Amino acid sequence: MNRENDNQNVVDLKNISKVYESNTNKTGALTDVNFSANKGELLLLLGPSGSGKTTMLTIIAGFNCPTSGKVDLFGKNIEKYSQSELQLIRAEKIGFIFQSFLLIDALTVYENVELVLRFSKRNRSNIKEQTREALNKVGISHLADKTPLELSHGEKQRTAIARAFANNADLLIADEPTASLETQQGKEIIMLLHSYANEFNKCVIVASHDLRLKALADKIFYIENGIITKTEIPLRANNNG
Amino acid sequence: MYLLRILIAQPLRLILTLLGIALCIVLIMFILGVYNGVAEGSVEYIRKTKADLWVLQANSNNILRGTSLLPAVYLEVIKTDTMIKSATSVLLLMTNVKVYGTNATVLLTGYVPGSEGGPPKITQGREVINNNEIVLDKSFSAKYKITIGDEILIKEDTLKVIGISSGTNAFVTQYAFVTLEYAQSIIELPGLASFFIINCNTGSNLSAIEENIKNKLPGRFSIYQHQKFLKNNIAEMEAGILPLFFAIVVIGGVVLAIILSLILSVNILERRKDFAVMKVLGSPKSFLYSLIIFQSLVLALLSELLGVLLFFSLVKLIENISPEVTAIINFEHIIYITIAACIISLLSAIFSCRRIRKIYPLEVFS
Repeated sequence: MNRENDNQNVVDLKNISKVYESNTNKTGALTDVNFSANKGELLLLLGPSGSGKTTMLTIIAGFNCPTSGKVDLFGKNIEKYSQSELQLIRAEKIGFIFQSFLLIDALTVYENVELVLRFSKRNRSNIKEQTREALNKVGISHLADKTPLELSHGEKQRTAIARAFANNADLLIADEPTASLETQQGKEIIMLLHSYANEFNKCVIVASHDLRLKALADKIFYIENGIITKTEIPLRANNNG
Repeated sequence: MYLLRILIAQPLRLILTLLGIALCIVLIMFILGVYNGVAEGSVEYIRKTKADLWVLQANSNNILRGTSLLPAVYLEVIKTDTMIKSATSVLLLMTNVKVYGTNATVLLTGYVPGSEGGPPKITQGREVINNNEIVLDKSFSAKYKITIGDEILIKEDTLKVIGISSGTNAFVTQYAFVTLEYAQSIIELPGLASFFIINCNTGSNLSAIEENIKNKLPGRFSIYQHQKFLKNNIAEMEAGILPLFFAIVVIGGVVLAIILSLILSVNILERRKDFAVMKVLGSPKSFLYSLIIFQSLVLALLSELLGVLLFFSLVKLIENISPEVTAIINFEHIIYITIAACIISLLSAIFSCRRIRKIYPLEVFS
């Protein structure tokens, strides 16, 4: 496990195809996709709705099986993980951010963030400390006792990000994180994700159709009809590299 | 915390749920309580009567659901055994009485004043001495608002109520005590008894005495030692009402399980998104199941508490309306019902947990 942690490669997709089958027809969601993500990178999957971005994310997280191809997650073929190992990996090493925030309305901001830490094997004092730290990181400590119903969209997304940061995840998966936000709020969220990848040497994969994100991505994968049509490394990222 | 927040998020639903489950528990407690009341009231007379041997007509083994008629002269024959300290006759008659113009039925028990066979406990007044006196059961007198000094009619005879007894409510009817002589006069058969109560000298061999009696008048008697006779009557009482009560308790338990399962299933469906999110975030199955199980247990225990409070209020109310209904519940019974409610809630939770398996993490991805 330690050897896997030291490996810079977090996700590696090789020749991934995904076909959804129903009784009457077959729909190709992904075709021969190759994709690799390392620590310290913010990768952007850019494409219109229905292009296969979300399918790709669900395959990376192990919720969906590819029809063909190979998925390596944290240096190991995903098929070799048992269901309970995958559950533990999601609890300890992956953070998720969604367009519609997906917070639990019955819980406070603090409890929403704390919840994910309970899923991993951590002691109580550690959970408390990490929850507070995550809330501080995204600047919402003052909202700890509020429920999601009392928050603005921007605050909700910050809570979702704090939840994703809480377990110090090596891989952060964000599905349209800025789609429900106004311009300024969207920018702030992008900055948070960017700094998480760069400052903390984590891997962030963002699926979006928001072109604003291009400015901060380390690598951009253009995806259309399930095919990665172009891969681009922005000049800024090149210079940094 | 999540669980408690969910529960209190909709207070009206929580109250209705608790009330529904509590009423099921009240139903179960009430049936159990009535059973205990019947069990006690039906056999208390026998239990409290001091008797070494009960002598009945041949082929009779109880006094609750059987007829036993014996000529009183047999008692004189029995008494000749030197090991017998005392022997007395009792006559039981299901009799119609008139109370303030209303007809009622009592199990009229004629006994010899000062002998065994009278009321097990007098709570007010005294035992009968004269033929125009009667002792009534507590719940019977409460039902018909009879107090000591009042008069009731049997046939054309006026009897004065001189005592109130307890432990004499047999649920379907209540005991009333008169002199043996008066009871015999009602049926105009002076020499008739239902059974004889025999007490023997200390240290006597009861089996030997039993044999002696049987030998004196072969084929005439069924004779039982006290514990055996008590057991016979309990068995007879249970055979009559237990299956009915058991069926009602089972129905109550099933209704409880269905209510709980429905509530839990509705909660799971309403919180489907939350469960799917938790699965995405890496929640172990055990965590999700524990939420449902804990929720179910909290509902059951809160309802149990509410049920106990409701039960005692309800019993008071019912006992005021129908004094002949006696429900007896003690702490031990409450513990048993609590354990049963917990088991039912666990089974309901396990049944409902199946729904969680059908919630998929992919549901949260747009």
